Amino acid sequence: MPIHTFIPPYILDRIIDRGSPYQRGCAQQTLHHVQSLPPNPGPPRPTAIAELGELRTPGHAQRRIHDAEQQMQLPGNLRRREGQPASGDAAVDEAYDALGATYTFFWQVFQRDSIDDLGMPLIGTVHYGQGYENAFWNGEQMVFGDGDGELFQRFTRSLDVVAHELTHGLIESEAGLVYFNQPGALNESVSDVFGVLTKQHALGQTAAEADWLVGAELLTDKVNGVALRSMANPGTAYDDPLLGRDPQPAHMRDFIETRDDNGGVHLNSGIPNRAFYLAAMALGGYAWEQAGRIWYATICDPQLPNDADFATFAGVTLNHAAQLFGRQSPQVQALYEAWTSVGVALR
Amino acid sequence: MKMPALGPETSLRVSRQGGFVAAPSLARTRQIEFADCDAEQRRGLCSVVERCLPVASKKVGAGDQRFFRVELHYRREDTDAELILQIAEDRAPQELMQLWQNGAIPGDS
Repeated sequence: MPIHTFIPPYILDRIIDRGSPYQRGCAQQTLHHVQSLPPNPGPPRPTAIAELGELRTPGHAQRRIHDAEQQMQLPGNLRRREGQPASGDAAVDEAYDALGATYTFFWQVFQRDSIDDLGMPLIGTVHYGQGYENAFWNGEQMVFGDGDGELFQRFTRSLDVVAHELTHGLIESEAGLVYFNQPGALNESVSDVFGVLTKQHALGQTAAEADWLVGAELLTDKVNGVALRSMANPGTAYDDPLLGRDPQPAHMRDFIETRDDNGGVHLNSGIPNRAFYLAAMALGGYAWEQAGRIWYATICDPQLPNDADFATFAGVTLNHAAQLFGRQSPQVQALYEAWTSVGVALR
Repeated sequence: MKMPALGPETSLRVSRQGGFVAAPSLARTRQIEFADCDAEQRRGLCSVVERCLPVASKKVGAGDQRFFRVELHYRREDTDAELILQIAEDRAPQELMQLWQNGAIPGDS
């Protein structure tokens, strides 16, 4: 098996070397600004979260959207809380709407009351940093950057990205898949799965109607690509002089052994992503009704070890397919074929 | 964790990893050979690594949080050795960010 331990030299400093004057200027400006900031004080105080928890309202989200105002202190200034009208700030309102759509998806499809199924408030911070090209879950809340405007637009534009980050919190509450090697790639994949399912649910799309792209709204017109990831065809989302080429494998024969990215958690997730896509397409209809149900039951199963590899995870999905739909069901057959098609050997 | 003794054959690599995007080029790996540096620059590079030691952690990156990876490749008793440090983005020392972003070495005029 090939070992891709290091980034190849030809892409070293690609953006620094080839970036536009604006990008270099933006990077320099960010650096100066970051140097002037005090250390990040960390996530919101638990007391503030406990206070919000008293507002528990099953079936209705409790959202709080903060504005970091281009700084990197969390949570930032509160700009919109549950029930308040649109703020007029696109990022604030996109985060509010997307977190609402994600809550609605999990509630209507799985009767799950928020991240922890205990009504945890959904706290998001937008306008984090200057030209910040990322979105993340920090164990307490979701955080969204505005992008540099050259390669990436603001990260609240994609509903599936917002839902992906919320799902990281859900996984911490359930399977707790460790963020390393294959369990880490499963953590990423499950977040992609429920990210795209949230979008499909909001749009009322069947599996056949969906584009199965992750982050399609983030890339600017200057980037040669359609999204950041493709669940249907991992490795084909972009191929760009500045961004590089989508490195995701779609099959176990191309599994990437690396020490980077916590063992390639964002790379090898392409393999279980495609397995889910194949199963959902084979079953047809709304993907959240069959394949989604099986995946949800799997991550909520206490028997799923937090260090599960792909084969272990696949085995648990088959168990749940059998429990939900029957041992001889088309669902079991579809899952078996999907996992086999991506080279995951079932035990 | 302590700093090893570093000779002129030492190589330092700094990359930024993780994050939702995780595109190959965003790592912007910077590699510096000690052989190409004078004594003052080497001391500056060592000071950056020393600043990273107390904030390094094996558990970084969860939930798409970005982090820096610092790799020292050096010789110890005639064998190849390496020191790998991972530092969460929000805990990264200024000197590390400067080194990664524009190659600035502390004390280098």
